[in-house]
Amino acid sequence: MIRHYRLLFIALSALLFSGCPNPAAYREPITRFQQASTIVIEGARIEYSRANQTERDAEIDRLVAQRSRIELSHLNDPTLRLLDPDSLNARMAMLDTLSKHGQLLLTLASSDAPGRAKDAANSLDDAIVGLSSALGNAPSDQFKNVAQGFATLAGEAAQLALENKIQQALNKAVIASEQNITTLLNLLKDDLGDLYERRRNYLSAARKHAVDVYNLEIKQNSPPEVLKAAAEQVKNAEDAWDNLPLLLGAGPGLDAMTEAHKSLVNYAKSPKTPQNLVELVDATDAFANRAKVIADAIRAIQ
Amino acid sequence: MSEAANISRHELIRLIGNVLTDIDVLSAHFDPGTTNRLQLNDLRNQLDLAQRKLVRSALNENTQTFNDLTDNLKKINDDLSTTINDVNKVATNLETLVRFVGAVQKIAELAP
Repeated sequence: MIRHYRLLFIALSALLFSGCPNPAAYREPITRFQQASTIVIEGARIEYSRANQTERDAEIDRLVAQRSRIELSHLNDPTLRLLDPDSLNARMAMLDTLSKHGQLLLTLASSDAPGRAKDAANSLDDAIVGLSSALGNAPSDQFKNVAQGFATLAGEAAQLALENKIQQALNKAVIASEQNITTLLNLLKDDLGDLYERRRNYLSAARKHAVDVYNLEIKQNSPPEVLKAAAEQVKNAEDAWDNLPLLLGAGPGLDAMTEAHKSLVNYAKSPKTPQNLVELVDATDAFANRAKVIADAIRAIQ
Repeated sequence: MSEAANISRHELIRLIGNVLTDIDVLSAHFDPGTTNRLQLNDLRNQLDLAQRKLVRSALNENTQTFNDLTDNLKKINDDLSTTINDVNKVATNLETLVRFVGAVQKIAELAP
């Protein structure tokens, strides 16, 4: 279906466009970029929001395995959380802003920019307000430094677009992308990789615990139904362990988003011939396809 | 001075994760409550705490101290990887794990 769409799109492009692509031709890559970004951001949001819950559950399971008391004061300990609420908000706001920035960049690059750039600029401006507020509360670290630099440049691009200074806005948006986006997405990818490691740690401990329970039942010469129930727990733990690679979905998603942003920048800097547009469509198609794989993986583990 | 390629904070966290899973596999050979198992549990808990601290922290990985400490850790990890899958070498494994956990804790101390 996608293949058919693309062939039709290329054929129409060749027939209809002479030198400068029709404004309508940009809508599909813009839409696909938006949709794919939404999927990747949602994947990251799920990973981030589950991180603290997983950490708490791991601690409870550890206490259970050691037959220790559970104290609420211990579960309230902030050091049990991997991300404090302010850091979490800042990362979510950053992902939202990156998506809106990509949309503005693409809109500015399209030939009907003056008519449509203001909506995208307003949308980005709103996202930057949210990001700046979130960063204000976030602890100082490399993420905060790079994110603040990006927010400043992206804010300037949005302002220029609102003033209808399309070429200047486009130049500013390209600079913001080139200077900060790859770094930011790599930082977020490392973040998610760290969360993945904590989950791996948790699942490894869980499979050990499941095996312990089964082996204890064997030792106590427990009846077959008890053994069978314990064996089911071993199977469940092994299934969760085997599904672990699917959790890498959010990382490659950010890789795909980085590549898509590079394609947007390349397109923005190109002469914008029909061939350039076809390349952009290919890039956003590739991003959308990878995002779909990620969405499937997220569904599989939920 | 560092000789090997430096590792990043994220790679360090992954390296610790590999050892944690190795400890779990090794631990499962021993019944809960036995001496070996208790020692392995204790080492696992310490390593788990250090990994969590590293994940939470904004550790600066661009320092000579970080590079030197992680280089040392990599050497201990090389020693560990030659024996960790051999359940008959539990004494050696415990000894190397103590060194590994100590080296990780030193790195975690760099975290603010």
